Amino acid sequence: MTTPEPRTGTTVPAGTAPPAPAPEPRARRQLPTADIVLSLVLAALFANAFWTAMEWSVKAGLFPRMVTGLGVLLTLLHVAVLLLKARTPVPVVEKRVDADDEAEGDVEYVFAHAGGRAWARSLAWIAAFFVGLYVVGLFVIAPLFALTYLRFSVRTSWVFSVAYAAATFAVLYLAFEVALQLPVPPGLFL
Amino acid sequence: MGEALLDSLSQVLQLQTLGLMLLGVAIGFVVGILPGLGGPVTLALMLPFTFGMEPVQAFAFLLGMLVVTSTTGDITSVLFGIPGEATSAAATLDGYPLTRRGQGGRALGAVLFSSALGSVFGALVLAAMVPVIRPVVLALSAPEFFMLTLVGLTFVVALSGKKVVKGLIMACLGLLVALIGIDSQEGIARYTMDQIYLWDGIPLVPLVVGLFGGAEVLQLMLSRSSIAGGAGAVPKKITGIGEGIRDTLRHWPVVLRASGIGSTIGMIPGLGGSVAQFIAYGQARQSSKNPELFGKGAIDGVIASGAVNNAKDGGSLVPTIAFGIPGGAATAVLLSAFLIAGLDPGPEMLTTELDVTYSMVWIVVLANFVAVAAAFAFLRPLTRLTFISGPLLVPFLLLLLGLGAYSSSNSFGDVLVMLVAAAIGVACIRWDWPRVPFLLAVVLGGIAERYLFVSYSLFGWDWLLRPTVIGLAVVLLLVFLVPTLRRRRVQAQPAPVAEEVRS
Repeated sequence: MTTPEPRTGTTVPAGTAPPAPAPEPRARRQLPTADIVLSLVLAALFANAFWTAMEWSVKAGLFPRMVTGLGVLLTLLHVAVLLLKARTPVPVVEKRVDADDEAEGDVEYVFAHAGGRAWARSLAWIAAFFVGLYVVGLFVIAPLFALTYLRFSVRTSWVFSVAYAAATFAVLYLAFEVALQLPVPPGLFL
Repeated sequence: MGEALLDSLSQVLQLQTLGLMLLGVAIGFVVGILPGLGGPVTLALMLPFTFGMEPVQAFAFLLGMLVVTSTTGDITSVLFGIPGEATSAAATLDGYPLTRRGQGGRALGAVLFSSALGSVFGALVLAAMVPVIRPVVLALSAPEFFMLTLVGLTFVVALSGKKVVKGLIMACLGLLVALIGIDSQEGIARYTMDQIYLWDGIPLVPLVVGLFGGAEVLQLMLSRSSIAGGAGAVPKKITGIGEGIRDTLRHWPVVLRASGIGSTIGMIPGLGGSVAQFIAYGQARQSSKNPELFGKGAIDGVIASGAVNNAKDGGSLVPTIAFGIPGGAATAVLLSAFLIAGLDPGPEMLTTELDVTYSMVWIVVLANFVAVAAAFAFLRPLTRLTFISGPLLVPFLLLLLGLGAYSSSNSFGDVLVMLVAAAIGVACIRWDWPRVPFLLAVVLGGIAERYLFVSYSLFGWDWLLRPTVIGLAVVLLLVFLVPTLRRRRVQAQPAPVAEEVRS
């Protein structure tokens, strides 16, 4: 969020010429570090892919060279534009709100404003689920995750958490094992 | 045409297909009502369940679900002022003021009935476009299709707002991802990092599931709020639905105009429903006898918002089916369903697979009518879904993510692909990089390279001099130049300060 500069309310003594209008307040743009870092990482990726594609025959390598070559050019152009823009001071009020900023608003806002602890906690729960999926399989991890996540993270009651976990297991088992007979991640021990 | 239409109707009305469509409608209904869970995300999560289905069954399930989200997204817009879908935002402008004046039932009757009429209009446009567009598509060959693929990609990038360079970079990244695997011309392993798993390329389903679903789950975990946020209570009594339906019939020119705008804009890749709704809303205001009521509870504003939303679905299917160029995120995901079902968008869809194309027309119409009937019957209990706490959905959605990714080829490698795609999706949202050009490029990458190879094999480099190729190259340039010039012109004018708009 940006706050516009307050307007200065100066008075002009009678009989004197009005002073020249004060120059609009201008501020140096903030360096978009994340964009620059991401662009440079992608530039390195494209350059490496281009180099690799040079070893292939024309038939196999033509399209990859076109794509990766364009990728290198665009990423470097993007970095150059970002650096140039950062050096150019702009009026403070120039910040715009585009329609596409509002479109993904909620998710973008949540990601930008969630604290480090919330991120760490959420990512840890996700990691626990997928490690569990790999180690003990779906039929164990799905109810176990539902129970522990709801009880200890969402703080629902034991009764609700157990009921949710039991329902999860029942639906999964009936749908995937009995009705559809589709393979699910079995875990390391099966 | 008539015979093909009837043949496709009989396919849609088969018990299993109809059952899958109703299941899709039920899922789309719930998703549409829940703000925060969008149509493309749900489509991505449900994509893996279409393995093994016949093409018509798969589209009955997926398309039935997608078109209904547009319809039911309007319910929360009208009742709580919170758009259930991004494309339902215009319905809040007049629908919510009407609810606050105790006319929520009337607004719902109008928005839902106009949605149903809009869907019929969109489906008719789709059906009517098939004979018109077929000779055009059949006259094109590999060079033109290659150029069309590029034009489609650039449309989506250039019209996605101010992030043009970022969009292009993401498209290049998507094309790079599409190149992974054994090259079909010479059998060279490209970018496989000596992993046998990557020889078949990056599987599309886990990628789509992760790219769209991963970010949504993480958002629910981080925000820890009820999906409806600060919405008010469900109105105790919802009456006046019949009056809303009569209003819609009385304002039939508004329905026609908004539907026309919706299906036309739906056909232009990159613009999509978010833009169409406001153009139709603005047009309805201009042509209204009471423009001063707009924003305060104008029923014609509500009707225009409902009709445009659903008409655009039929329109957006036209370029997807005929040229393999999706109009937006939802149709980009739907395009993945074509590839999973073993269908090639383009001439095939207008000749040998014409029954599949026409079945989509029926699915759009039937799904919407079922959804509107169900909405009228169970409106009040269904709106309670809005108050489900977001974190309660997390275990279920994580399950869908894992299961959806794994079912692609029953390999844990697919789950890893999904997690990497989820990380890319989250990074894109966090640092404002567009996801749709990336997905579109992954989907179109293989097709584009095939067309390029065939063009080169048939014509050498002479294909670049074909008049249609030059014409499409000019279109490609204009796609970039026109929005850039327009943006420069707009930048010269004063813009609203961020603080004023967001406060």
